[in-house]
Amino acid sequence: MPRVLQPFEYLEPRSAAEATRILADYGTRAKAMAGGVDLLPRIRQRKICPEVIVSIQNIPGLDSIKEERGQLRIGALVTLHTAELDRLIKERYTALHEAVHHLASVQVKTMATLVGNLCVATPASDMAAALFVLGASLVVVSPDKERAIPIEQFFLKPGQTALQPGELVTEIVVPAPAPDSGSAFLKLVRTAADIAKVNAAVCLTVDGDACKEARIALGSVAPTTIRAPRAEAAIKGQKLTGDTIQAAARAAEAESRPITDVRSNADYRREMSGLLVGRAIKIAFQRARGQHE
Amino acid sequence: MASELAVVGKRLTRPDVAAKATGSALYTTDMTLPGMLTAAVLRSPHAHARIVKIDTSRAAKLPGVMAVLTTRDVPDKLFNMGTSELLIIKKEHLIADQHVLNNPVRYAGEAVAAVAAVDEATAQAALELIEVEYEVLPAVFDPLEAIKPGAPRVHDFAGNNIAQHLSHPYVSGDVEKGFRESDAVIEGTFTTSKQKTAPLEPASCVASFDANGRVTVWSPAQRPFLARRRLGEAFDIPEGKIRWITPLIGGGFGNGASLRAEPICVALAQKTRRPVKLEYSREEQFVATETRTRFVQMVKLGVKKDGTMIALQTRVIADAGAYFSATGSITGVNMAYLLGLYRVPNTAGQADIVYTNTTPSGAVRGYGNPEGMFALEQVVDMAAEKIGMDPMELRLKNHRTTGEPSRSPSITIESCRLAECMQLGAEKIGWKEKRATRNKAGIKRRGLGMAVTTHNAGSFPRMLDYTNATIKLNEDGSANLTAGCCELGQGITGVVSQIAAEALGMHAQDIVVYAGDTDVNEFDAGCVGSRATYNIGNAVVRAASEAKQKLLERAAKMLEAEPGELEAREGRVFFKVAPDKGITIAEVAKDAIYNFKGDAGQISGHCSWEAKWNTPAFEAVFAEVEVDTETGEVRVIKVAQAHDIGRAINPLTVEGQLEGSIMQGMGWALTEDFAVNSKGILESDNFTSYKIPSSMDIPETEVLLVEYPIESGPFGAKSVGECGVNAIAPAIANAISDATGIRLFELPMNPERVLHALHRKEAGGLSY
Ligand SMILES: Cc1cc2nc3c(=O)[nH]c(=O)nc-3n(C[C@H](O)[C@H](O)[C@H](O)COP(=O)(O)OP(=O)(O)OC[C@H]3O[C@@H](n4cnc5c(N)ncnc54)[C@H](O)[C@@H]3O)c2cc1C
Repeated sequence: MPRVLQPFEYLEPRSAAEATRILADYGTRAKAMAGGVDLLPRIRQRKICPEVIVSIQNIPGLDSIKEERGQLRIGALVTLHTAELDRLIKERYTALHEAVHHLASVQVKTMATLVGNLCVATPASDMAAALFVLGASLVVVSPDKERAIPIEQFFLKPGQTALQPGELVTEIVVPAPAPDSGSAFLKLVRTAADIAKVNAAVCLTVDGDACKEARIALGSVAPTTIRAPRAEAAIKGQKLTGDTIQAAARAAEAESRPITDVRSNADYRREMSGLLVGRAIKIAFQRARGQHE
Repeated sequence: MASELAVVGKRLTRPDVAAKATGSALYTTDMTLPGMLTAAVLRSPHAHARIVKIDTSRAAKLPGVMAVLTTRDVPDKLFNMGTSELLIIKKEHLIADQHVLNNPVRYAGEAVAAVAAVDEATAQAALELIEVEYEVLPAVFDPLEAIKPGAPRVHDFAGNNIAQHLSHPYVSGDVEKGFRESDAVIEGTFTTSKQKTAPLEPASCVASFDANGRVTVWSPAQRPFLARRRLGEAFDIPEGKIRWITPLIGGGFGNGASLRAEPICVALAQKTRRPVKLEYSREEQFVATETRTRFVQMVKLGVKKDGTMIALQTRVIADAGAYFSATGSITGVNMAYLLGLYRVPNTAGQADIVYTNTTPSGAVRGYGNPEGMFALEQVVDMAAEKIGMDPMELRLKNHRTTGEPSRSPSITIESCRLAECMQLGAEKIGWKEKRATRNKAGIKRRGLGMAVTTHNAGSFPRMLDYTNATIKLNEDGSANLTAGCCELGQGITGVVSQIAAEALGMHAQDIVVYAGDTDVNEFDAGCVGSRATYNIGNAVVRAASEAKQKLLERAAKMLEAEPGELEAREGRVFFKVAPDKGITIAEVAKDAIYNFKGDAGQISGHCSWEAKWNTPAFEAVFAEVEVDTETGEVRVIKVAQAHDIGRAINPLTVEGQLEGSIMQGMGWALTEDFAVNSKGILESDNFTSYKIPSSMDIPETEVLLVEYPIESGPFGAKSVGECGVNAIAPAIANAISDATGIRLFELPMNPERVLHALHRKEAGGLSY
């Protein structure tokens, strides 16, 4: 395995418009770079050989987290470290906070961006699972237009997103959590700084003991992060009891389609999909009812 | 040692850390020479394949490529990359089974060809131009498959892939009779994994021939003299024509006890007549340097109702991987510790060393002992359970102690403080109280486990354990010490400077240590086998004492006294009866050089030291774990580790060794997995796929030093380098069993295996 990077041209545009023009001009020969945490090792391993790297680090205005008209907006240069320290995220978007908090080490968090994490399109993305249940979408710009992509439509297959050549993600937009809602994120890893064997996120809106709304997502058990609609159906409109939660867990298990790889095996992942969903429902439920664990 | 120690036993800052903290420390890869080329290695994509044709013409024509190396260019001579065998007194373990480049290749990732070019990018590009036609051969990856009739043959000479059969040399009594007389017989088969140590510095080498054909090699080898001899054998170069320099080593753990990047690097330097640097990538470090040996160990123990151990038998299959390297002596050590920790009248041990088409195994911290302890220390717990005895009581009753034969029966144990280690560790972990009250119901269950171990200081008497030390005093009162102590991060530089300073009456910071250079240093067997503090330290004490004698003699002349009236301490020579009357060592040392009275004679001391004794260290490890019975996750909550150190020359350094051992042992126990797929391709070849614990995973640790200075060690010191890693995995395994009732027979004990065992237990199957 080589130790050195293949040579490439390195550009630092000053605006999103300029960046998208360059990306459009070079097409598949160019790659955007945020933190470079994923991109640079991939170049070293010769999995990709871009001729041009377009750093977005010098584009102003992409590094903030703000709440506007009830929506949380996370810029493309916001690092995991910044997001982890954000009080708003911690207090209101709990699943996202937990996903960020449990991700890797401080070194990785300091460099890596949330948007970069999504653009890698790994089925194990912790960000993706949390943002699936929080109903996020991505703001995408290209030289001639801007569009929003709901996060559930963003991932096509491992390593592939819905982005077209020349498109750049500028923001993640997360709607305000509904009243009486709560969310939770859980994952299983080998060591503390590891990519998930399985991750699960749950967001519930409750009315007393009953579950009004449920969104459940699973990662690392299918080619992309998935929603688990049958698990959601098992609790939606139901009282949350041991039985209904168990039914949701079993449905989630059936909805997972895991493989065996170096991190774990398919059987374990399947079983754990259900288990994590069950556990996350319980935590989210307590949070939705304003109780703390 | 009449008076209190001035330097030894102090928590001094190590002399190597400032350079490391500031980034100015120089390692092999920092070396650059004029005209130096960069090498790169083409590696086999197949686990077993004959190279039918290799066309290097396009690569050779690439501008900037200076040489392409194939099997045709390397010496037609078999050798062994390991170095241990050079010192074995009985030569039974010797097997030479590899060339610098081999055809056929016998594991995926083995070197096929190499290139030297003006820079790394050119060398890499050239590799892609080498065309190889392989005839893929059937391959075998599991040692138990490899010994079956009809299995693919890894080496022609090894029928059934058995490279060597070993019988334990020190068997005693009659095991069959012993088992018949036992009240309980426990048997289990335990499989360990090919752990990869994770030194920060991957294998690397710089080699340069001079105009007279003499070669200088810079490399992070842990045994410069033995590496020089091995290299010389492979290339038919006499030792004197090789200068081997080991600079600072970025982590050893045994990996540098074998040759790694050096043979290819030297071959390219020889071919190009230019300096060549070869630096392995992390992936190459994983796939193409030696791993811990996978052992399949059947261990059978017979005990009486009262806990007396009667019979102990082991049958071991050791997976050497594709080449033999040091697996013979590792397996010998494995058997010796398996059968040598406890006092058992009837013992027997057999082992087969088997080839597979996997990365070769070799020296790794513990050298067969942790593998043995993973099996033995679980079997001991199983026996305790069966006869209803506290596992600690059973161990206290049976472990060998002071005055009894050590694992090398010709050596009597000089001092054993294992009982004290057990008591201290038990107290710190809360053994009695917690085991009585622990929660055995619910989803998350807690458990406590223990294991004990012993480890020698060096390899005497099975191997030659020889070293030299020389010290000279400079006119400012500083001293240069040349000794065999390569600094691989373990802190030996600080240890020997504290020993020398104490013995001479100086300050530790006034001792400048030089090691690892075969042109300057005298012979030493290397920083391996937990030998350095004990054996090199013994040489250093004596060299320093000799210098001290000369120092006192000269000081006596200067002070018009008798040497016997004087003492040296903390940089001064003074009258014993009037300590404030005296002169500085600097004044004496200066008088020895700038004498002007016809009486010059620089103060120096030398010691040539051949080990004549070997006092093992002992250790007790206690672990508390929490098992999530729904996920199978094991969280290590606390580890208490009590080590019988004799005397800690620098307690900080000893604690560092032990804390590192806990992490390395935990990784081996729980997460590290050298995962090879069905084609023999290594899937875990970086730190994303191969998980070692990080600072975020470390449990609460309590490292306890039990200090009773011994006669045979320098200032009473025993060893610590490897011992700490031996008993971690079995202590965790026993704690898991205590928490859940399941037994795990295979490493790593990952959640998948734990959950599987829990399900089997629930389904009413055997708990083990
Ligand atoms: C040791 C380690 C542990 C990790 N553990 C986890 C984990 O537990 N869970 C987890 O989910 N992830 C984990 N990761 C992945 C990590 O979170 C991502 O690699 C990181 O967030 C990528 O962000 P970046 O800013 O560095 O992206 P970069 O490496 O800069 O870019 C990644 C990809 O996204 C593209 N890209 C980046 N920004 C944009 C943009 N604005 N518009 C369009 N395309 C863009 C790039 O072209 C590139 O293809 C881990 C990584 C490491 C190294």
